[in-house]
Amino acid sequence: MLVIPALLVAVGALLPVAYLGVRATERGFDTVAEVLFRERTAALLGRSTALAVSVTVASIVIGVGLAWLTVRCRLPGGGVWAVVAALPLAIPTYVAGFAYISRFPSLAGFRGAWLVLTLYSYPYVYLPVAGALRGLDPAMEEASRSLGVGAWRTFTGVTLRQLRPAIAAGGLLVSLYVFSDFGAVSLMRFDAFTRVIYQSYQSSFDRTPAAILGALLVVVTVLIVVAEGRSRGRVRYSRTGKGTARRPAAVDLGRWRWPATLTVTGIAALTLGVPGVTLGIWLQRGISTGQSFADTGEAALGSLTAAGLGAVVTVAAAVPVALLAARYRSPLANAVERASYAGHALPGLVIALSLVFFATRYVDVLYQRLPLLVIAYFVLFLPLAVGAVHAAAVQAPPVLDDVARSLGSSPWRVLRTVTAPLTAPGVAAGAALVFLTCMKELPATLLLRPTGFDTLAVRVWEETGAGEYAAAAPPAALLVLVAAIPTWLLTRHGRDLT
Amino acid sequence: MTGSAVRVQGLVKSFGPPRRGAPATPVLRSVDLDVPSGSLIAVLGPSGCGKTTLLRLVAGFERADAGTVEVGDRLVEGPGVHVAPERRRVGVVPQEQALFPHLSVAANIGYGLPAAQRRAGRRVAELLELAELGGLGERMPHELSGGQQQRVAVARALAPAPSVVLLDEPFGGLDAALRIAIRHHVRAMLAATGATALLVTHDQEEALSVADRVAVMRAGEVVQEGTPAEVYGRPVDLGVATFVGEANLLPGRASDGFVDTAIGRLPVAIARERCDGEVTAVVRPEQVHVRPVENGTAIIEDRLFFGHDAMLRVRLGDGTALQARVTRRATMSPGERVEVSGEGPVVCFPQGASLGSDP
Repeated sequence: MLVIPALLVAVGALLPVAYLGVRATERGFDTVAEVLFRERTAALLGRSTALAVSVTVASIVIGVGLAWLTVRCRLPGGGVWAVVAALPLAIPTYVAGFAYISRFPSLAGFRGAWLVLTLYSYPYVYLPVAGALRGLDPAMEEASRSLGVGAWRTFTGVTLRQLRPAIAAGGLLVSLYVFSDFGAVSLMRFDAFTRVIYQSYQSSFDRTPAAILGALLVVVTVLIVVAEGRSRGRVRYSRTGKGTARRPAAVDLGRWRWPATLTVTGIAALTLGVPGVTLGIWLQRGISTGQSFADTGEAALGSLTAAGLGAVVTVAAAVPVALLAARYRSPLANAVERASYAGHALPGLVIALSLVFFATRYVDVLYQRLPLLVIAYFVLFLPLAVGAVHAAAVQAPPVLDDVARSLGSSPWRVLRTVTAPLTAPGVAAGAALVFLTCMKELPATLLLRPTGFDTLAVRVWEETGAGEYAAAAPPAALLVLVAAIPTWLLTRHGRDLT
Repeated sequence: MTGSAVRVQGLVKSFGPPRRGAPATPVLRSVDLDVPSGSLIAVLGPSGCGKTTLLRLVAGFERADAGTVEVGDRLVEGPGVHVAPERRRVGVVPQEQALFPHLSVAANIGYGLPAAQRRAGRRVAELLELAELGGLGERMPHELSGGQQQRVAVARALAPAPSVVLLDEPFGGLDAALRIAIRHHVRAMLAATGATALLVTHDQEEALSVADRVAVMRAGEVVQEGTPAEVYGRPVDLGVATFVGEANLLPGRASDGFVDTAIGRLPVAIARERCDGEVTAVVRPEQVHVRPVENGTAIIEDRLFFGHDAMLRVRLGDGTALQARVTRRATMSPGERVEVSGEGPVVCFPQGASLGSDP
């Protein structure tokens, strides 16, 4: 009963990407070769790769350092730092980009893109490494010390080695994120893949080069995803014994305590302080010049509408996929669940682009209509919803159905009195998460929104691009508020797990 | 009693993807079983023998490939017949109990009752009393101890007065001390309601102590069915003999109703087959008697003390090792010389008989 809707959902999630390939090659392979092998494309690939590598390296340094300081060391302020270090993940890069470019216009270009992307994507390294550090059994380090190995060599030889899988996985996520980011590179006017694809799509009548570059970007991201999968395949639990590990004793930093605190505070000042202060200044300036908030209100309404529809559609589609995967382990169920993850890794811009091509060719009525935007949200955030619904479905194991049936309940009554009440909270939480993520989404919204339809994200991006910083501040402030909610939930959830 | 609460005949079930060339794995191959009304029968077998599958087929959670299941003289499973679980009047107590986590204890117990009866609350109160859970009706399942949860699961299954209650390894998750008390309690609950019960377990001690009758399953078949004393004292083959309780397997020569073994001449319990000549005799540890004798031909090798009694490992003069159960007062210790004798009656099988582990 579940298989058919689940299959339909999976096919729906894969279709736009598959069509991008068709659209990119329909002019023949000569055109493909011409676009791919020109100098400009090589330079573009070089620039994007340089950005990804430098951001990844910097993120690993900051992520691992902060993880060690917040998990293993005794800092003044205690547990607060663990939350503060994860918070930048919640701030969309276009909001951060707005904050930095409006205060420091000279940052435009590579330096600005590098700075913003590093500051706001290092949590992808920080979170898994901090988790791994928490789970690490101190007995291993003690064994190393008792064998006569010093503190520093124990750290590099035992601790760091145990963390390597987490660092690798986090680093690959960062590079994936850099390739797919649109907000930071476009506002910093750095010609990375997404910005070039967007410009090529906007400016020229012939959209084939945009399709070809989009397909190239897909290839790059798929390569990274494959590498990420491999690195994860090698991850082993760091403990082999039974029972739970002891909590390691916190390291006393001695006279290094204050420099360490200063470093942690400094990073927080850059990630949270700068946007906070900048937003405050521009808000205040807007109010003093009597700026109207009507635009922001209208954009907020647009965000609510699009994100609300997106959340409902995505979660409804996720239910059969997640139930199938949670209840019936089979190769088909696995394949369906994997397919639903297609949108996870692909840049939102590319998904949007392929939907534009698909709609203009086959379903013209949808082009620049709200349903197409909702479909994009569905493709992009289906994995998020499937994950949440899957976790919810585990709350109602099949054995409860069996018992309820044997007590005389029809399948319908079982659904109403057992399955639904047990899974509803998890499904609702998933819907909330998808809703908030839709609100923050920029590139797909930019490309697919109906003419004259504004959202908060689009307003921030357009006003910043036009240098109207006072007008960008109110929607940006609203988004920061909205964005803080899922991160708060996420860190709370993460703490429950550890 | 004459009627059967459950009658299973020729039940067959296979699982697994029928891959090209490879047949599906048979889990049940023609199982026959009769559960008399009002009795408690234990299906005993090692893990993977198909006992849980048998239970799921009786409950209606799976469909049979062949064979029939009757519950209270009504055909519920057979060629072209599959009655839905909710129409079978079969109660289930799963291994993990599976209480509804979002419902109170009283609501759990009342779940299977018709709405009017549930609202009246008399039946629920009755069962709470029976389960000795008076006053805990408004608690949530996670607020109960393991033993209390177990009793709620049983009370919930009994509430709609089903034709039979199926219990899947019901005492597996409980610690040893609690297990005995819960066994008594569950038996009392079943007896008080006059319920028929089919219990599935891999623990021979549990099966022998709790059940009125025991069915031993092996590799998808019921190999022996009888009272606990019959199954223990008259196993049909060496496999059953060694699975149900500990057994010493001694080679011997049988003739005229006696068997000569290394520990003497023992009477043979029953002539299963024409049991003459070279045989294997099954001697339970409690049938081996050991007494300390200076210059005895046997020697104590090891002693495991259990409190209520002790188990000795004895090496005979000819090298045969034996297990002997002795009272806790027997003070013999490793290294001591002893004399060993046996006590009949014992069961014999022709020598070379397989343990029956291969189908």
